[in-house]
Amino acid sequence: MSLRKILVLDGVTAVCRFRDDGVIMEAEGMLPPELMDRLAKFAQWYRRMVSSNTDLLSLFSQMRGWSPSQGWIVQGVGMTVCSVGNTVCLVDNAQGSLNQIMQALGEAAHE
Amino acid sequence: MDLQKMMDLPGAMAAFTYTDKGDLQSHVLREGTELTPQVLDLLTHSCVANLAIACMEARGWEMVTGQGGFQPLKGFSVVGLEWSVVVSGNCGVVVKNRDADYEATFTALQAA
Amino acid sequence: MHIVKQLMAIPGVIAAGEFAYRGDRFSYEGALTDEFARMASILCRANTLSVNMESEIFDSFAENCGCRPVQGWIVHGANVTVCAVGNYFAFIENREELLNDVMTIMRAKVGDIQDDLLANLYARLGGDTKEALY
Repeated sequence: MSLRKILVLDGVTAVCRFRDDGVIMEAEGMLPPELMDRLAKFAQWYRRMVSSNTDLLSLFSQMRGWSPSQGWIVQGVGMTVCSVGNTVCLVDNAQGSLNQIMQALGEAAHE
Repeated sequence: MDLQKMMDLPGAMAAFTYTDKGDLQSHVLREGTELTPQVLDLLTHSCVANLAIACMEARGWEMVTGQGGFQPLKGFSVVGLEWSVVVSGNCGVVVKNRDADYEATFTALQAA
Repeated sequence: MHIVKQLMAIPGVIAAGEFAYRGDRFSYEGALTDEFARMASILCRANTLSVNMESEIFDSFAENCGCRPVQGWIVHGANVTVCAVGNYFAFIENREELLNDVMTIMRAKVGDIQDDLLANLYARLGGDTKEALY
């Protein structure tokens, strides 16, 4: 799925797909290149951290269903950052539907 | 908590306290250090996160292995290239690695 | 002398070993079972990733402030402490002077960790650092 299809969703202000070393593969939206780089790097690290946390939870809880992790959401007072796989986007809380966006991110990440 | 006294620890560059949520509450900086209150505030937030994760790990480990001795956690330290941050409870110290005395620092933080 | 053997020769060191990035490869000596060592490996990876991420963030706001590259971390428990430098870890009793000695030895034997975290974590135990994780 082209990232444009995610950008057109209500509330999404920027979206990018990143490689495992944090390098941007594609990016759409009104974010300066330097900030888009930061977003990608942050998302890449956060993905690793979340994956570590779910591994720990699996280990200690012996429950299935935590690993492998799918994504994460950080919800701020007005903006939210959410990611599935190697795609991350910025969302304006007042306009976006997280459910719809996370689903779209999931489809994009599996392509 | 006497932050000035913490600054007497070997290699101390900064001493600080923070809330349970990680907000910097008070701090003392060694003159000439590149550390700023803003950086310390980032540091205190990461310290709270690290302590919480370490607590989860300690709890999980004791629960699954039956081995004791980890809880209650006494502190955490991140060892950087040139300096380390050592935290215990709601206070911490940044120390230069070449002079760092981890034991004395942990002990002093717990006694405060 | 290999670092793990050197650490295990010190009274009060419960266990010491190496861990790899995914936690799927590890080696150890001491009072751990294979399963506990595997768990320890996963724990070490989690903490190492966290502190590396945090130092990158700090560095982006306060360049050259001396925390990067991260060398290791310490979890100081009630009676037992876990310390990690690079991809080596040690479980030690909280005896006087032991933590300082262990950290000194680990830092000296491991040397300064350079910036490429993945390469470092795989360096000793092998593995493709370019391999995509997902």
